[in-house]
Amino acid sequence: MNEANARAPQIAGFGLGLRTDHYHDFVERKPAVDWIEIISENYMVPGGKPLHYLDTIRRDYPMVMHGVSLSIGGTDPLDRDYLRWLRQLIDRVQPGWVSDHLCWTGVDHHNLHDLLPLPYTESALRHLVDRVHEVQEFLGRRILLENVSSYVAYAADEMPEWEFVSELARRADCHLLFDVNNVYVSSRNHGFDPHVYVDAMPVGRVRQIHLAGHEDHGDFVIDTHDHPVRDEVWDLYRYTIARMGAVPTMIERDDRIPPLDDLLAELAQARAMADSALALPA
Amino acid sequence: MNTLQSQQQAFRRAVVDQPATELFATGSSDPQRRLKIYRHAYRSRLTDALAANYPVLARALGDEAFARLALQYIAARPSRHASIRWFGDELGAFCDECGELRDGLLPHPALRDLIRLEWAICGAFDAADAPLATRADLLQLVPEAWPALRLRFHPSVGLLELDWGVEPIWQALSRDIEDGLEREVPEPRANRHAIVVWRQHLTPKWRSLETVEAVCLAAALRGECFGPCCELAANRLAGIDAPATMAGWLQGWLIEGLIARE
Repeated sequence: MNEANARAPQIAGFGLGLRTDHYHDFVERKPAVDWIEIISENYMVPGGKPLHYLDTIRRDYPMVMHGVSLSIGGTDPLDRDYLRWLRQLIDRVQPGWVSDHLCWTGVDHHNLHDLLPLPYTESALRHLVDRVHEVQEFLGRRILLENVSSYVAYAADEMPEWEFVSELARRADCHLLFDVNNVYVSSRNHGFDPHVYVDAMPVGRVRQIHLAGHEDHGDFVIDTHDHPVRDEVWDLYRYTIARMGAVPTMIERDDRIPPLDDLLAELAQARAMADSALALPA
Repeated sequence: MNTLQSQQQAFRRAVVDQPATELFATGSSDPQRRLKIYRHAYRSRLTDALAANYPVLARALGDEAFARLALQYIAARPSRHASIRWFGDELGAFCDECGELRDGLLPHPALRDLIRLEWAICGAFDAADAPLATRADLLQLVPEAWPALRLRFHPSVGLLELDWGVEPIWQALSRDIEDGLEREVPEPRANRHAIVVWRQHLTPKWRSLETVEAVCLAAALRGECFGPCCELAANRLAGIDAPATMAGWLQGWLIEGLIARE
């Protein structure tokens, strides 16, 4: 599998997700952000404002694309129209890479528009490997898949999530987007040690890290992406960087979008935390 | 049966309809309680998506009535789209079919027209781009070319036939949304008329049309040549200078950004 084509930018350092509230900030202030992640579906439209700002901001920043609708774990056939539109957007953006989630989003053509967990079984793994191959073949590049947070576990599970994720990356020859907050959220909801999860990740395959906030309800935690990153997640991030090295990292805020400066401050915190983690003796 | 598929079908039932108790592990948590998170997220995400596409309708109905409408729609018209951007495309048809007045979902029939207007605005927002024609482009045409001229319109241009004068409601509620104030919403009046919706640069616009301008624009949008469009206008503009009126409309369409370059 070839890597992304030669026009794709090298992605390193610290990024932010592009949100409509910040279009003007990015165009006018050109804040010091190393790269930007876009939600692919927001720009899978014929024209108008979304594509206008996408093109304008792309001129100043390297980008990566992050989708929510691939449904790689779904059992409906892969949506070829969606994949064609995705490929068109890839041609337009020339992203460093393209990611989506290790989940399913609907069944029998009913899209639930949620990132739903898969059963961690050998048969689900085989199903996924075939579909990842199909997508990578179609797009002509490796994709990154992100671990999702979950609130329920299947009675049919045959292996822990971390084993499922790392085995998939190996067998499907894809890369991973490691969401530290999602690991923390699921660890609290299912009662496992998140460090074990980090330790099980195939280091060379993790190409991007997400950091986000969540809501703590005591006996369970909800992945809301509408709060600043919490201390427990920062601690796990430090641990992750110490193990994985300088993986490109971004803050992902999807709701209650604060002023851009708040996110830049949070990103500076990530930068400082990664620096300190990397400065530690091995 | 494919096990993964049956697991996903059971999961979907648990989110949309009722719990599927045997699917989930009961080890460290109560799956019934946890499933509520998915159920709530499903409904609230789609309700938010519908409100994003129909902000003025949401304001007109208020949170409670809009949520009631949204839940009925979510149950009746499950999303088939890859992107949530298109959720709500059938809201107008759904309201037409479901006997909404009887069910109390829409308190006034004019709101059906508001739904159509808002969906058209949504479509204009991210319709395809196209370079616009200029006055100079049209001035280049020799007089003999005009009758056979087929105007090419910007992809965002659409014409709606409405039964109600919903424009004052739309304006009042849009201002409310912008500044957070609450204005008195005028009572809609029955008024069969046409509205043109399009995008000017990056912003969706709409404008009500006089009947004859609407007839001409509809003909031009259908691909009729300029000559027949002028005849249509002349037949309906008895006693008025039809060519001058038509030229005025054309100039307006050009300035407003309705006409694309050939």
